[in-house]
Amino acid sequence: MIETVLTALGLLAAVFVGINIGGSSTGVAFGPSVGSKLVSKKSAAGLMTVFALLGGWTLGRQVIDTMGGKIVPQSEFTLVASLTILFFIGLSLMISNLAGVPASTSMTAVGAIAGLGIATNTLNWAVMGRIVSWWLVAPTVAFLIGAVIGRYLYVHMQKLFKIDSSDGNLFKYTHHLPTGLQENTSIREAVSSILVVIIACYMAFSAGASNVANAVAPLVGSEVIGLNIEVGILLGVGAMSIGGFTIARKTLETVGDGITDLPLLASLVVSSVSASIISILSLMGIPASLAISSTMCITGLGWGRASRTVKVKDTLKGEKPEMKPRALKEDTGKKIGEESKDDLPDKKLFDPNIISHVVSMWILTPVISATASYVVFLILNTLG
Amino acid sequence: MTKIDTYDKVLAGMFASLSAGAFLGILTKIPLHYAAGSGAAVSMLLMYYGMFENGPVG
Repeated sequence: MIETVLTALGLLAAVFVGINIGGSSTGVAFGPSVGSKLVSKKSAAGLMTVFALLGGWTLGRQVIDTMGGKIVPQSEFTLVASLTILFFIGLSLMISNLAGVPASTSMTAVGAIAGLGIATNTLNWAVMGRIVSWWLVAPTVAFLIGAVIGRYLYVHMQKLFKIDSSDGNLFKYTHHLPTGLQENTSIREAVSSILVVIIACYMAFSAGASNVANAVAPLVGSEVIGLNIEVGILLGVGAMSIGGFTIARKTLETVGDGITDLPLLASLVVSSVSASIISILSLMGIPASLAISSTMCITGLGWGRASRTVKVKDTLKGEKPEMKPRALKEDTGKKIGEESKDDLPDKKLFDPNIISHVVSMWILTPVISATASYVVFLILNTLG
Repeated sequence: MTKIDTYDKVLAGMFASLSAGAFLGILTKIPLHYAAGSGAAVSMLLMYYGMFENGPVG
């Protein structure tokens, strides 16, 4: 009887986590497409479901495998342990939603499982070392790619990318299917618009690959519950889909998490870079934070763009231009070092303090989660 | 031709340390994740320099 109640609670907790992840992921992935009126909110939730399922079904298995049986052996995932881990993941989601403090679900999950491992002396340190090493690589690579694009390529990309030149529908439709371009739609505009939606789908794919594990890995890992991995993925994506159709209606309007505040082209760069990093890590079975990779990529992009206004002799003199990443919208047509601070608009999109925010989230989230989970599991062990 | 400045060097250094880590991991017996992680750690020091020590930060 108690087992049935605990299993039901576990499933409910997994659905709760999935719904929240689905809500925020749909907002992040499809914010730019919905904001530019390329897809409706319903279509966004539909596309989110399809591509999250694709990501979860293919790459997501590796992450579930790692979280559900490699960090600690499957035998440690008792009903109570699985529930406790899901409780921690749910708690971090609630805190981040209520207090507006960004917390990585993947990092909380890994931290909570590591806490269980330390308390029961079953933690696989080699696997943890592997995960933490890639946690160092991912944000650095994200920053570097963002910075290189911001410094050398962004101003040129702005000339190629165009999305809002004509009014009305982009395409002619026959039986709801696009059959050609409207007269006032340029090919460049059509290609740019299609690209926005494709990249949103890619982001949804990577969110599915990385995040389904957060909702269901503790249940799939548990020998007691014995949830089949395929059923687990369907359950996780199903919950994400509910989040996409419900919570995301609000997040799509109000997401202020950085990506959707960016100019469209910048958000496309950030989405493609972070989705690629997360997909590769998922393929390797490494749970990783999409939020951290994308924030570091935004930071890199802003840094790279701002660095164009500095000549080397000025930096040697100690002159430091201001960071104004709204500058991402501007194309002054000047080369590196020729631009001045005054060429950039005075709108603050990017706060350099964001770095300390990311670093604290990056270090604190898994540490707090691991410590709290360690204490809880130690008490549970003592109680018997 | 545009002159190479501090920030070009920072980016080149970050790329070099990340690549060196990856190559060490692939070509030697050092596990890839530890080699790549060490490369990333060096790269982060350069990132810190480029952002805070001598960075375009207002």
